[in-house]
Amino acid sequence: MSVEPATAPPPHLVPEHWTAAGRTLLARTIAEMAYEEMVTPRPDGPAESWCLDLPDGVSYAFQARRGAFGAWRIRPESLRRRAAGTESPATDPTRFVVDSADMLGLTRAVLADLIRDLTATHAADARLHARAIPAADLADLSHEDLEAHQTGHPCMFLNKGRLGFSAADTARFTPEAAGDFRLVWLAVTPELARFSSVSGLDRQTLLAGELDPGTRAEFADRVRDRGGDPDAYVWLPVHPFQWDEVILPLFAGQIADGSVVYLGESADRYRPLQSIRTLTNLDRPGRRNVKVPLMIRNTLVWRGLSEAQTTCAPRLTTWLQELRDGDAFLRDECRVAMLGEVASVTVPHPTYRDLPDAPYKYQELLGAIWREPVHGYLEPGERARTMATLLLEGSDGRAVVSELVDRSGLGAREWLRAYLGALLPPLLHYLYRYGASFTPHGENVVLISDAAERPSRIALKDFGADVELLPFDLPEYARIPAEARDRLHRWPAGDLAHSILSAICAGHFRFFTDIADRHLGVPEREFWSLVREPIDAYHRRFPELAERFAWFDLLGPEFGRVALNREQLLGGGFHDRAERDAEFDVMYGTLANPLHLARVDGD
Amino acid sequence: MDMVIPPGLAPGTWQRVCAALAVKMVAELAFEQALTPAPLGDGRYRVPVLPDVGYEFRGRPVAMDSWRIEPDSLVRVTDGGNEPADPYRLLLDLHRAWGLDPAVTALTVTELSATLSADAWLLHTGLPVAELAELPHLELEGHQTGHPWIFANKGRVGFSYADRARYAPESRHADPLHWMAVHRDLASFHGVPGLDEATLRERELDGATRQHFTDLLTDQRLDPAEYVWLPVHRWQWDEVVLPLFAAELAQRRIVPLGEAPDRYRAQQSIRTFGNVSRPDRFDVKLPLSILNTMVYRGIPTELVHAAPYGTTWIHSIRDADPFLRDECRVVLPGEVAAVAVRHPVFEALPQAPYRYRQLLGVIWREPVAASLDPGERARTLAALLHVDPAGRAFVAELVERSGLAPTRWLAALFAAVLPPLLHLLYRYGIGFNPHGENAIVVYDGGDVPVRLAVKDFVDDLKLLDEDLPEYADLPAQTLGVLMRFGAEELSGSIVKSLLMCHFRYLAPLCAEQLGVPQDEFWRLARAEIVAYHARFPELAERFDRFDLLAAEFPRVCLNRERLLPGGYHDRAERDASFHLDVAPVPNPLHLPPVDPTAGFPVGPEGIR
Repeated sequence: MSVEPATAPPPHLVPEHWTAAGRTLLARTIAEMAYEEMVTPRPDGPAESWCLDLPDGVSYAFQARRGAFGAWRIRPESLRRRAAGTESPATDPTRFVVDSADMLGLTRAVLADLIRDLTATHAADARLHARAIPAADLADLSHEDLEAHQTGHPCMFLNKGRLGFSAADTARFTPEAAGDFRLVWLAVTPELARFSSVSGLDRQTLLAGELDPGTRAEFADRVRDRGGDPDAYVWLPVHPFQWDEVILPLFAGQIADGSVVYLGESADRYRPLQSIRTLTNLDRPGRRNVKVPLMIRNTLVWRGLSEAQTTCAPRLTTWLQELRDGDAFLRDECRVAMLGEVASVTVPHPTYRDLPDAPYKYQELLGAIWREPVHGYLEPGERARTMATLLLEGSDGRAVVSELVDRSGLGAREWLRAYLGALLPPLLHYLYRYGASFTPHGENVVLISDAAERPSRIALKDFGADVELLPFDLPEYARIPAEARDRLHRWPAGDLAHSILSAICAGHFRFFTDIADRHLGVPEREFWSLVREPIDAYHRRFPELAERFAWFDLLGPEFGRVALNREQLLGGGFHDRAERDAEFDVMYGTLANPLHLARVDGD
Repeated sequence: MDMVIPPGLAPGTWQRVCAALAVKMVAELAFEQALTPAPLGDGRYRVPVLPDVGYEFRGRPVAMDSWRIEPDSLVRVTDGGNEPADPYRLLLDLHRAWGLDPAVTALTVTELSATLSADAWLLHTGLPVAELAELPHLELEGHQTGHPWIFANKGRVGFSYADRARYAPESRHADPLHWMAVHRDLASFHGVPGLDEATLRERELDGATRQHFTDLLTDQRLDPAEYVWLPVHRWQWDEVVLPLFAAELAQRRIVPLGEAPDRYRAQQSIRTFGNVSRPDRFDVKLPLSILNTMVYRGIPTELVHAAPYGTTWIHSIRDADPFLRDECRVVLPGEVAAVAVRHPVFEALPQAPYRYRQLLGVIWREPVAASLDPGERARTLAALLHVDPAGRAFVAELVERSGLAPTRWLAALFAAVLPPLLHLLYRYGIGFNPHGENAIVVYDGGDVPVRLAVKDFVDDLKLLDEDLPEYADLPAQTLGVLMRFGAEELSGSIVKSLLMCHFRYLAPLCAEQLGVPQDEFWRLARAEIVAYHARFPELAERFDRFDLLAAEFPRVCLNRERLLPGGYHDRAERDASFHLDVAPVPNPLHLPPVDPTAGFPVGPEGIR
């Protein structure tokens, strides 16, 4: 996109923020590479001193503690680079990646790509560092404003690559930019577009909720101007980046012949949540979130909207919400909120539709999902924060969770029990009782606190993209609408167990245990015992599901290590696959399961 | 950002450009022997593509195995009947027929879409050739339609719609350039003798701007003497410099300076800009990391270094050669100064894709206009292929304005274009790449071609892979940078760029609009070459080596290369070669041997 001339660099590109962000990113990079066993640090003298030897006589020395799953907790300020007999503070992750490239076996094409992603991530981290505020202030922020301080996927060190975004795009369209922008609306001929929704929500009702009458009338005129029927045409919002970079260039023929009609911008301002392509309405928070495709590549995949998942999202919503409403445990005890994906539009590209073996990014160009915002589910006094918030530390070095525990008036262990008791039972129940798994990573789980700031329940989101089923048909699947059932991914029970073991335990708790230890004074062994409590309680409560407990084996001795960074460093080939999710995540080796060993106190 | 729908995106315009592009695809793929038209009689031909899909058109074969296809005659024929040919559908048919790499086909769809959108805009805003003939050089470039041979010729992968609307030559925008200061750790300045860094700055920037830029540095407690200044394209700044040089920005090794006042207009190459505020100031060539017509449009850092040294050498040759200097009066717009900026990480990775090693830098080039005599006018050679929305060719307009008979005008064109290129090739072993955008025809006040300007030295210039005595003075800085090839490759530059990529189209256009039979067109071109041979008999050995009058030439298949699998855009080498097993192209300049005692029937004097 076009950019206005600058006479000063962006304020976050100054040595202070660049160096600090680089040091932390370098620590994460080495820690995650070591966790995935891509590199092997060796003990270097006193306890907690480590050294990583790289080719050409280069090595990195650092202090680190180890955690469950073999986690590495590197102290960023301890990092030193040794080369040619000299030693200096190490703050440059790009230097490290170049230093280690030959040992990692990276081709130069992959390395160049990786450096691009790493530089983008580094710059985003510098921006976050420049905007950092104390933990108490973070705890005061609204859900939307807090999202703008989240640091991204904790397991991937290249977590803000966003290939496709320019600097101006990054300054405008990323969550950490904390900006706002308006959406472009299009109307598409019903011959091309497909609308889906939960029952009771037709297109006119949806649009009446999302657009003011004046805007609707104006937009309808635009459709008539191009010879279309405004009621027959399917309307949808488009991200301004996608409009400029993808839709205008690639749908030029459809725009020319009037099958796609440009309606204009709507009035409300939106801001991206952490997933970047899900946008929340700043002016009218009661209006729905919209999830829209973005042709950028971030954390392994191009961020379009797949036609199959988008189409079945409302049907899946209906199923999951009906399960909740009909199940006393979910409804009355867990009180889990299922943020419904209540309507969607898909628009295939007429040429790429006829080129089914094209890379998947070309099949997900245009569409939208409308999702209920969490606000609508909150009772008076309740507050919502994504679970990722629990990993945040403020500019004062204090963890947000310390502030939350203080505000609750609970002891740290009581607070953690409340948190784990809110988080795990609904996920276990959907998995065991209904054979449905989510991907409940830190951004998809919203933790809801009551008026006293005590964790009380959770909200779950991202169904169309992330709900998965067992490969065989459980009786509980009978009520899934056929079209959705046929399109959902099916994986063996051991893979679905990763929704708990990998997404929550290895993907979130692996980092949270460090926070709990350092900031809450709860040692890691004790934390895992606390995690066992609601699981064991659930198992006791529903003995009739014992056979299924065995299928998923959440308490087994070990499970596969999801190795997202290895997948990323395999190279660009997979970006050109026709099928985005052709295989389950790349696995490398196994992890000892801390839930297996955890001793449950008081039992 | 302007979100208004482009006015060219209207049904009638869109259908017309789609039809024209489908015609181009069939014609060029037939030239490249990927498609084989078979006569149906009555001027109609059929091209089978799939067992159940064929394309039929009305047209005729012309010289060099090429085809003229009537624009609205091309139809896709299936069992279900006929439908107007559509470039997307044609690509999908070819994809099925040839088993193309789906990733390449998918990318080609994006390039077709971008090309069609630009074509629609050009058609919508097209002017009659009578008006085009009055336009200054730079403005005329804003009406040209791009590479005549490559069908996806305005793909510009990396440009969004807004970028195209602002930065494409046909947008006809004139914008200020953004400047920055780069620390000498990363940047180096190179100039021809007499043009040092301070002189260049004084020439290109007014005093107030220079003071302002200096103040910006000193205000940040930076020493201006430690920095080299250079302009940067806004797109490159936003898409490449800020994202990829973030560390250098954070360390103040790169410092943005803001805009300078002069406004610049993009030439056809997209990355070369002419100064419309001060036409006496230099043209500026800037790297743009977009993929267009087969390659990323950065400027390799080592070429930037070499440009002024190559210029000094070429100019010394011209200035010492009376034929080039006084007879041809060839204009060689010097690449007189350059700043090379290396990326500290990518430049240390020689095996990384080439696009990462050509991110930042600038070449300042003498504007053609500065070399013109009063009354002279310059237009790219490519402009001669332009046809306006009403179907009239630009060449027809110029011939009419000249008042000359078409054959005499063409003889003047060949006399202006060929001798300097031949002399540089034969006499000095220098192969330019005189395609329609690099070669600029200079006309006298009566629109008669009088001489040639040829540009793009370091990027496109080729030398022989052996040491000719004429290379003795080659500056050390250009060694290992200028491309070295065998003789066939050097003459191939002229064959490919001039014959295959220009005259192949100009000849039938002249037949259709000027009534000059194509045999006559080629005879006139040949006559100019033969006259040169007669003038310089001492170079006879080199005539044989380069042999522009050979019976046939290797066939170049630009579009087929484009469609080959393997991600041509991720190669480490920009110019890695391809090998397709295709028959050679007959050379229309070739005459079968005749009795040597009879002499050649027509010399240049015979037609003047």
